[in-house]
Formats: sequence, structure tokens, C-alpha cells
Amino acid sequence: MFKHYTKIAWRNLLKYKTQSIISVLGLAIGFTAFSFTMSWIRFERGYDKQIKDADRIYKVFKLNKRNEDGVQHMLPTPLKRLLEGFPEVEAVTAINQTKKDIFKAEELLISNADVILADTSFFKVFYPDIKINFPNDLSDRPIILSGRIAQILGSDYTKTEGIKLIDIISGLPSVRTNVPFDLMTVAPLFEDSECPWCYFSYTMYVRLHDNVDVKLIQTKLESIEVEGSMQGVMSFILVPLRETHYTYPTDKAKIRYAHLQIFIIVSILIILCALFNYLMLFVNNLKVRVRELKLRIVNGASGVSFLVQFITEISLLLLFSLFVSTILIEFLFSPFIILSEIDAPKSFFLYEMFLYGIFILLFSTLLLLLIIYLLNKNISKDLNHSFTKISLFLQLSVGILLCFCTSIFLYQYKTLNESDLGFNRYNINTFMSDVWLTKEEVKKIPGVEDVIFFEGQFLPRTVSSSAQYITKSNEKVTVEFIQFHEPEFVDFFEFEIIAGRNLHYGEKNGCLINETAVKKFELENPLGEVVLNFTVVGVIHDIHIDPPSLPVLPTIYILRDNMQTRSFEKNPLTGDYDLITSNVPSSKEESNSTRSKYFAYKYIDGFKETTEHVIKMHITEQGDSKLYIRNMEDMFSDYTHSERYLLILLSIMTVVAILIAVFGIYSMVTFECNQRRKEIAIRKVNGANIKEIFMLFFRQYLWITVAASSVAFPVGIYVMQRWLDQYTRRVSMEWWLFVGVFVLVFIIVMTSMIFRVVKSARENPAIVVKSE
Amino acid sequence: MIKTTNLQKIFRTDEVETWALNEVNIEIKEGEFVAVMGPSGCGKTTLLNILGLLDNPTSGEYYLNGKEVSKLKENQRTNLRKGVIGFVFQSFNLIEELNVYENIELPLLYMKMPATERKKRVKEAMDRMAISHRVKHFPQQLSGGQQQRVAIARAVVANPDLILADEPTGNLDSKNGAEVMSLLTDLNREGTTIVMVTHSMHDAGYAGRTINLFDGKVVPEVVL
Repeated sequence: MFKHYTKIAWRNLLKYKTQSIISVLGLAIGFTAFSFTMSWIRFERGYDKQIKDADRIYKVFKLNKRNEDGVQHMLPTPLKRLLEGFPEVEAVTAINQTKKDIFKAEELLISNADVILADTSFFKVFYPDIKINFPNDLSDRPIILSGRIAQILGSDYTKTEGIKLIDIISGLPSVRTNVPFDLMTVAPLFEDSECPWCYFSYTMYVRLHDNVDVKLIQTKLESIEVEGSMQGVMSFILVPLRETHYTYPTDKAKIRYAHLQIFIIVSILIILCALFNYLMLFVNNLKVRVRELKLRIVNGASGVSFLVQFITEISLLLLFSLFVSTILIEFLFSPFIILSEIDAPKSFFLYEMFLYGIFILLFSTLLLLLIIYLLNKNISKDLNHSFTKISLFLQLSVGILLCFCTSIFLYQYKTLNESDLGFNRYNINTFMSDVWLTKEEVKKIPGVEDVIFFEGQFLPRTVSSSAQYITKSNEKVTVEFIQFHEPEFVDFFEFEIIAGRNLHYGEKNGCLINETAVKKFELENPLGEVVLNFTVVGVIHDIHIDPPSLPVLPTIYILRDNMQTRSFEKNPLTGDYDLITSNVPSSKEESNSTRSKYFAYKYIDGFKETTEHVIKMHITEQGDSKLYIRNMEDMFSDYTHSERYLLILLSIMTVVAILIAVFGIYSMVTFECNQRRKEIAIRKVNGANIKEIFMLFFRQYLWITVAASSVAFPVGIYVMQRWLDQYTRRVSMEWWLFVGVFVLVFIIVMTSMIFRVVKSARENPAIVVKSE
Repeated sequence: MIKTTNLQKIFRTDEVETWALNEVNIEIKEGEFVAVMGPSGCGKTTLLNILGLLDNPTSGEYYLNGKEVSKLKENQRTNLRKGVIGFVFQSFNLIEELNVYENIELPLLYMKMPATERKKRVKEAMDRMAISHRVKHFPQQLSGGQQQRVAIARAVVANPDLILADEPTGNLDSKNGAEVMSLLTDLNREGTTIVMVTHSMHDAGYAGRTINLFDGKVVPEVVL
């Protein structure tokens, strides 16, 4: 009997092969997207689940509006002491995580090992059951090894390298944990006695006592005033350990977690579209199938056989979809791993995806059975017709929604990357090396148009300083300082001076301010005003140098010599502290002869690679020198790389959704044309021409498209408004976007039906009337 | 009004070539009531379809009101048919989704007639066919005789010069059949040309003359 059902199911799928193929492809793409995204989300949410009482452990962040995700990972050491004093806190640890190559007798044994610098409280926070006998004196920085690494390094490692080993700990997680370690260096906490609250070098984790409300700790942190702690400026948040990896990732993720959540919804919509597409075909043929059932019953079958037949058909369709999905998964696995940057074995994903496959199979079968049951109870032509329309309406709604969202997404993405940012970022490279060069030397490189000294004032921002300005109405405004060596930066980056003039060489007390500063400082006539000891000589347009989610701050542009700067600055690329030795030139001639290790240069279009190659050659000639070259346009577009990936994925899903809807419409039109064949012929006999026959269908599909739009657009507006709110520069949803999407979808709808309707309308009515 | 010269209609498939009409030469004058008779498959309906501009002949000439129409394109045929030719079928061919009023109104809609004029014409046609009391009913709610009255009302509502009836009583009992034939005779008396395909000698008796077809050819006509 099973063979019989399978045979009939196979024949039915073959009979409506176009629709079956579309349903299978739609479902397969939906399954694949759903499986990948769900695996990804589950992977992210599975961090540190092995740690006992992980829900009592929190990572502490400093709020920082200058960072894209709004927080700063590194914290000042006195915070640890402060937290240790709270009775709600069981333990606090401050750690410094890096990746390093481990050598044994100058032989590289392990590259990119997870190395943690921590104090003795690390285990109290994460693994309180592990008891370690720490020596009293930690000055020689003893180490703890993980079992895996100890095995690789061998028992004589510590003897060879002269290292003091405290313990070897086995069985700790090395993946899907926020605190993986191969080697831990135990050292006392570094505390700067001169400016303890200024030294940001540790990440901090706290373990709270059972049943402690974390909000209580945050409230306490905000209310405590510690001298020199900049309390108020310094606000902290505590994030549950298991959420930190996807809420505030240490390394910038290629696709943000929030974007994954959007994508999972899109995947589900695609699956539903494909299911409804198939169901529409099924319901359209329900009357025929009921006759088939009756004939079967006459021939001895029971009523259940229809259900079994249907389940077999659905299962076959879903199995085909899962099969195609498996091929897609295999094909897309490598790009997915690159995109997700997930360090997990393939078996993890295969297992996860198998579970989702089973889940989707059961869910789809149950959903379809429920609908068939409801329809079967009230079987009538009208109901079937209504269901078909509702199904089409749903498919079109999803298509329009995705089309609209993708359009807004694209519009916003283009605006973020192509709009006027107030400065020129095209054809500009920045580089830093160990080699001291003059601007003249850089200028001589073929393809280099212009050069300035550039120590990471922005893109990449490696130096940052800010102060507070008190306005006339006594409001405190945080001000950003951007410092240059020479006045040429204005022309180099093509800043537009909207009032006043540029700074002169050696103008120590002058400054330029941006438009936001003029507004925030409440300056009616800013020129000549003294702001934080600098006289405003010019006003420039706002420049958008930060991630698009951050607002433009009031900014003061000065020449470096004008500021009391620190002697050392941390270089985030190397992790080293560079001594600032450059002199601020007092004239152009002096500027040309000054040497520096940091430059920004403008290259002639098409000379990017050439200039980079020459610089590399030149620096390499100087020996084992480090060189970091960055392109300003790339760095800026990097701010929106998650949006870029999501845009690509969304576009694919939109095409799939539209394609499903198109085939849904085509099959509905085909079905309807067959059903209304006689009506069309009678109308033609009575004087209707092809255009008038087409209009019969046109009106109907126009209304379905209008109805779908009236649902999709409000939903789209709600979703996209919330999405756009995260950006400080955002597009508005212009009327032409709505019209454009509607017209596009309507043209697609019309194109998919016109051929079939015209074919029916062209039929000879004499033959139809005779044959019906 | 109607004149055909050497009219031929050949249906071709990959394997078979069927001559439905072969050198048909007929002439029907305005105001005539002509019955077309012959055995099944002799080409009666094919002839009626060509006369009604639903189909083109394979060769030959067809003059309608003095105009050669055998080679017109579909759109031209549709435009020429509007308001000039009315059809009555054996199986009534009413649109199930439309009620009596809407079915009758159909030809006028495609003639782009103003609504008030349409309403007047439909009312007249319904009164004439004595179906005004069924105005809101749908075809499936009517008897066969009533459905055929609606079909005739639809055929005459545009005041056509020519009515083509394809076995109009074929699906009716004798009482309803007689009523339909009576209606057609009345229309003919009022000046409408009627060409009716029938198997029934009795119905053919209502016509002024009969064209006999056999294997696609006209065999000598009999004037009653």
C-alpha cells in the first residue's frame, strides 16, 4: 500500500512539476537559511553553558558613546577594589586576554594560543570548585597550563624555559567560552598610583551571591563618588556572562546578532510562502481529489486513505526539499563558516540542521493537515477560491514586505556610504611604520598626489581626547578635540569652511569648530569667541567620521602644539606605546623637512596598489620593519559591513519570495483560466475583446496586490523605522519608494499573468462553447 | 444580408484533415428565418460559427451586409459582431457568477452603452421574455426554459440584425421548446434575421426555408 501511495504522490508532484519545483526550491532555500541562522544563533547562545552557575557571573562594561556598540571593554583597576567591597559580590576578577605564539627552545609549538593575564581571583569567579595553591609571591609571574597545552608542551617545558608552573588544569572548555585559556599568567593587579582611574587595561567579571538583583549593583556603582574616578562620566553596566559574546562581541562580528534575528524571521516567512504556494495547488485541486477519494471508497478504500495519501505527498515534497537543502548546506558550508567566524566542527552544524529538518518536517505537515482539515470540513468552491486568494495575498504580502525592506535597506546603505560626509575619504591611504620619513620622501612615490602627517586623528582613530565645556546657560557639553600637525589637513580632507578662515602655521591659540559645536556651545557669532582657551577662527561643516549609529559631537580642531598632550600614546594596532617625538612645524618649509612615522596620502585614481607596493618595498628595505597601510574608504565602509552582508542575504530572499509569489500567481491564473474558460468564451461571443477579458483578471490581481500592499507597507514602515532609529544619519521613507515598490511588484504580477490570460482570451470561443 | 462563396473550413491535426465545410454557397436575405439542418458532424455549427464571426473560414468569401469579412482579424470580428449579431445556444451558456440582469446586460457593457440606456434596454428585454420576476436570480436557480429565455433576452437586448441559434430547443421539453420557437418567430416577424441550426423537423417548420448540409456541402434547399 505504501508503494501505491508513494507512486500516486510522485505522479502528482510530476503532474504539477513547475509548481512542485518552485515549492521544493522555496522550501529548500528557506530550510537552508533557517538552519544556518538558527545554528548560528544557538551557537552564540551556547557560550559558557558549561560553567556552573553561569547566570550569576557578569561582565562589567564601561558605557562609552564614542564606541559603535556603546561600551568599552577595558576598565580601570580600582573598579575591582570597589566591587570587592560590595556585600552582594562573591568574587571579582580582572583579566587581560591575548593570543600569542608559544615557543619552546625557540621552536614554535602553538600559534595563536589563548593567553590570560589574571590575578588569583580568576578561578573564584569562573571555576570556584577548582582550588589552586597560589604562591605568596607572584612577582615572577608563575603560570597555569590547560591540560591540552601541557600535553603539547611536554613535561620539560617549564624547566627548559625557566618558568614557574603552578598547576595544570584539565577539562576546561576551550571553545564557546568567553574565557578560553591555554596558558594563564598569574600576576598581581597593575595599579597606577598616580592616576589609578585612568589606566584601562583589564576586562572585569563578577560573580554575585545567589538571588542578588544585578540592578542593585548598577545603582550602587552610579551613586558612589570616588575621587578621580570621573563618576558620572564613567557609568558601568553588568551584562550576563552568557550574553556578552553576542551582545558586545570583543571582535567585530561580520553580521551583528540583531541582524541574525531579522534574518531568521525572513527565513520563516520564506518557508511559509513556499508552504502556502504548495497548499494553494493542493486546495485548487481539492474538488478533483475529493472525487478521487469517492472513487477509491467505491473501490473499497477507507476515508483515512485520503489523509494517508496526502501525508505521503506532503512528506515526499518535504523530503525532496530537505534533500535539496542538504546539497545547499554542503555547498554553502565553507562561505558560512567564513561569514560566521564560528570555530566549531561541521558535525555540530549537521546535527543542529538535522534537528531543524525534523522540526520543519513535523511543523509543516501539521500546519498543512490543519488547513486541509478546516477546508475539508467546509468544502465548497467559494471557500477554495477564498483560500487561494488568501494564500496569494500572504505570498504577495511577504514579497512586498521584503522588497520594501530591502529597498529601504539599500537606500540607507547607499546613503551611509555615498553621501557627503563633510570630508573626502576617496583615494586616501594612511600608513604607519617603524621608519621615519619626510613628506617629501612620500610625495616622491609614483602616484602620490598629496601627503600630510596623520597620527590617527580619525579613520583609524587611534588618538582621542575630550573635555567639558560649560555653556552660557550652564549646560555641560562634552567636546571632542581633533589635533593636526599642520593647517593643510583642511585642504587635504576637503573640509568646507563655512565661516572665518583656516588656521595658520604656528597658530597656537586658534581653533576651528564644527557646526554642532556652534549649536551646542550656544554661540551666535562664533568667530573670535574663546572656547576652552582657543580662539575660534573658523567654522567647518560637520564631518561624519564615526560609525553611523553615533551622533556628531561638538568638535574643536587645533594644531597639536596647542594642547598639553601626554608623552605616550597607545597604538591599538601594535599594542605598543609610541613616544611622540614629532615637532609641530611652524612653517611649510619646516613641515616638509620634519620626519614622522604616520602619514595620510592621496593617490591618483588607479594608483592605490602601486603606491602601497612602493611603500612596502621601501619599508622592507629598512630591515624587519612593521608597516600598516589602511584605506580610508574601506575603513569607512567597514562600519556598515554587517549591513552589507545582510543586504546581500535579504536581496536573495526577496528574489526567492517574489519568485514564489510569481509562480503562485501563474498557477492560480492557469487554474482560473481553466475554470473560467467557458465564461471567457461566452463573454467573447457577447462582444468582449482580449483587452476586456484581461481587465477581468487585472482588476482581481490589482486588488490582491493593493490589499497585500496595505498590509505589507505598514508592517514594513514599523520594522524599518525601528531599524533606521539606530542610525544618526538616516533616510526618510520617501513616497517614491512606496510607489516604486508597488509598481515593481505590480508589473511582476501582471507579467506573470498576462501571458496565460491572453492565451486563454485568444482561444476560439466557438470551440470552447462547443467542447464545454 | 449574408452571402457566402465557395466557403471552406478544414480542421487539420498532425494526422487528420477534416473538411467541415466544402464549397458552401448560401445567401440569406434580411428578415429571413432560415433553418440549417443535417446529420451530426455535417458542419452545421461550423457554418453558424463562421456566419457569427466567431471563426474564419479556411478559404472562400463571406459577405455580411455587403462587406467581405472572411479574412478579418479577431479584434475586427469582435467589433463587427457587437450589436449586430446575437447568439442563442442549446446549452444556454449563461455565466453562472452573474444574475439574470447581469447576464442580459453583458453585450451592452461591451458596447460601452451608458448605464441608464442599459437599464432601459435590459428591462425591455426582460419584459419581453417574461422573466422580470427573476431579475436577481442566478442561472442555477432557473429552469431550463427560463434559462433559455434569459439567453434569448441577452441575444436580443442589443437589437441585433441577426440572431444565430444553435439548436435552441435541444435541451428543453416540448412546452418550453414551443415557447422559445414562438419567441424567435416573433422576433423574426419584427424584422430580425434568424439563422437556426436544428435537428428537429418540427422546429425547422417555424423557418421560412431550410438549408440542408451533408458532409460539409449544401444539398438542394427545400422551400416550404
